[in-house]
Amino acid sequence: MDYFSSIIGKSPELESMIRSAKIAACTDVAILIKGETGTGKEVLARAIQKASRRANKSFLSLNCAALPEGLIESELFGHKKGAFTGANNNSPGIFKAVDGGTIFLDEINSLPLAIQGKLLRFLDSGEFIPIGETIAHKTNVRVIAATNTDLNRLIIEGKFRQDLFFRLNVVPLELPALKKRSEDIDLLINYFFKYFAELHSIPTPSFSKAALKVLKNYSWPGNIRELRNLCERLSILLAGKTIEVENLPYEFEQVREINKSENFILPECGVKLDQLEADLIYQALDRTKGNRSKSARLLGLTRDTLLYRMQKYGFGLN
Amino acid sequence: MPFDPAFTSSYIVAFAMGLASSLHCIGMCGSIIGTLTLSLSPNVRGSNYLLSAFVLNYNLGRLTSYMLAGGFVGIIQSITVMPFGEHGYRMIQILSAIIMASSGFYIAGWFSRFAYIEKVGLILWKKLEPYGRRLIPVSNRLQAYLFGVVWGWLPCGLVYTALALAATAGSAEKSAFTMLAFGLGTLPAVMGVGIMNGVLTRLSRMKQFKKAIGIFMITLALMAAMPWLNPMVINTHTNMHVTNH
Ligand SMILES: Nc1ncnc2c1ncn2[C@@H]1O[C@H](COP(=O)(O)OP(=O)(O)OP(=O)(O)O)[C@@H](O)[C@H]1O
Ligand SMILES: [Mg+2]
Repeated sequence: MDYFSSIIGKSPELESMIRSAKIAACTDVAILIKGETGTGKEVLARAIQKASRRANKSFLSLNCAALPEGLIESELFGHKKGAFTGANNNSPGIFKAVDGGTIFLDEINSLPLAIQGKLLRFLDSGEFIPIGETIAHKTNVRVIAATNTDLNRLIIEGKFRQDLFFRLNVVPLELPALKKRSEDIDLLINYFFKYFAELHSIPTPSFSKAALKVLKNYSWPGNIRELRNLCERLSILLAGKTIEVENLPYEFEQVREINKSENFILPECGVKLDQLEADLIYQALDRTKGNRSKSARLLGLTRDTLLYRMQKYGFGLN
Repeated sequence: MPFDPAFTSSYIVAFAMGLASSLHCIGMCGSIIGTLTLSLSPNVRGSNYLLSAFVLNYNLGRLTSYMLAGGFVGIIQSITVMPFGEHGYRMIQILSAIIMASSGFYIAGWFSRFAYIEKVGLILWKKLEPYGRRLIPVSNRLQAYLFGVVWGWLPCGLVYTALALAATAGSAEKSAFTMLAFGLGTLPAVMGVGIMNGVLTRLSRMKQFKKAIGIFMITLALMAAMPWLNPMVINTHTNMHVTNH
């Protein structure tokens, strides 16, 4: 059974990453998954756990950014009754509870420095000391960590321990951003359309050639999550139809404009760019009856930039 | 000897290629090397002597596979190209130079599609890889060697580039040794990754460094395509004409 088949994509970048992940999955080695938001770090972590010898043991996912700083230490390593105000019971902590299994530490970049030290000690020796206790406890847990920010930068800023980074980075797995593997977009779209068609019992829509081109030129800041959400929305709104460029949401407007502007040809005699710009702004304002937000959209500018340029060319701001 | 290759310096070139390209792929191969070393038992990792023995065996295994692949490419080359004599040899030389140049553009960051060449070895890898996984956790040196043998077949565009160069070596034996030279060139970076992890990763991330290596590869490709440009082979090139006529 290939547990990595849930990770859709055929681009060489993704495939070579999965090759390394498969080998790493067979071991007990700590793993660091890097990748922008929505690139599938959690999906990968789960695949690794399922392909490992700990597949039948517990798996726990913890987002380090979601817990308040004061709570995270006792959450991870446990505390003794009365160790601090509010500690009304003995609490074993996650590392003890997951003994024998795997723990996924998401957004490890936001782990407080003091706890980074404790984690490092655990990774080196398998030991940790719960809050309020003096004796070290031992537990057998595999750690998979993930980060969506560049840890090297945090190390320079003094927010991440370099020794912990080296300890985790021995097995680095980097998920490529979606814009770097636009050839996978077709596969992902097919996969999501089919998935949502079954989920909602509706016929699948399809993208026109032009719309697909716009998608491939888009920057996808939300990566696969963003693509998935788009596919779900369009599956429902345009079930069974062909999706044209015009049906794409507002974010894609800029890409659309870039595609169109390829057709603009500089005339032989040249242009007066300043005059042309002023003229275009005038036309946009005229067409939208003075609505600045709509004009800005027509020109592919932000509203602030438009206001600034209007001032520059002496358009009355009212 | 019917084919005294115009490019006799290919061992040196292959070694240089290994040296340059392995620094580039620390990012990717790094996780495999990390897995290999960290999955060893703590008492092996604790002893420098034992650890180096294991790491050496991984790499010997890898080099064995490279040499096998090199020999194989050499045989294929001699079967398919021999009948066409010097022209066939020239064709192979140019083809190999094109692959080398492409990998140079790839490393420099100007031709990311080159990575598709990795699909070539995918079928073989899918067959071999389960055996590799069964060897983990590696507990003795034989297993380490065998794991290295499997690791050697990991689809990798830069290994294929080296194979393209090896195909121009002139005989199965020389092709195998060209691959050995390439493999030896990769050793410093691959073995050093445990020790100089930080330095190597930082180096391999630098854009200028990648560009320099890419341009170096392109230069090698030019020399491979036009051996008379290469100061080291002028004599052998003229010799070849003598022996062939
Ligand atoms: N390769 C993939 N194939 C199919 N679906 C994917 C793939 N990668 C991610 N997804 C989907 O995209 C969404 C986001 O994935 P995931 O939660 O793993 O991202 P993440 O990297 O953890 O993001 P964040 O940093 O924001 O937590 C999920 O719905 C997941 O199912
Ligand atoms: Mg996540």
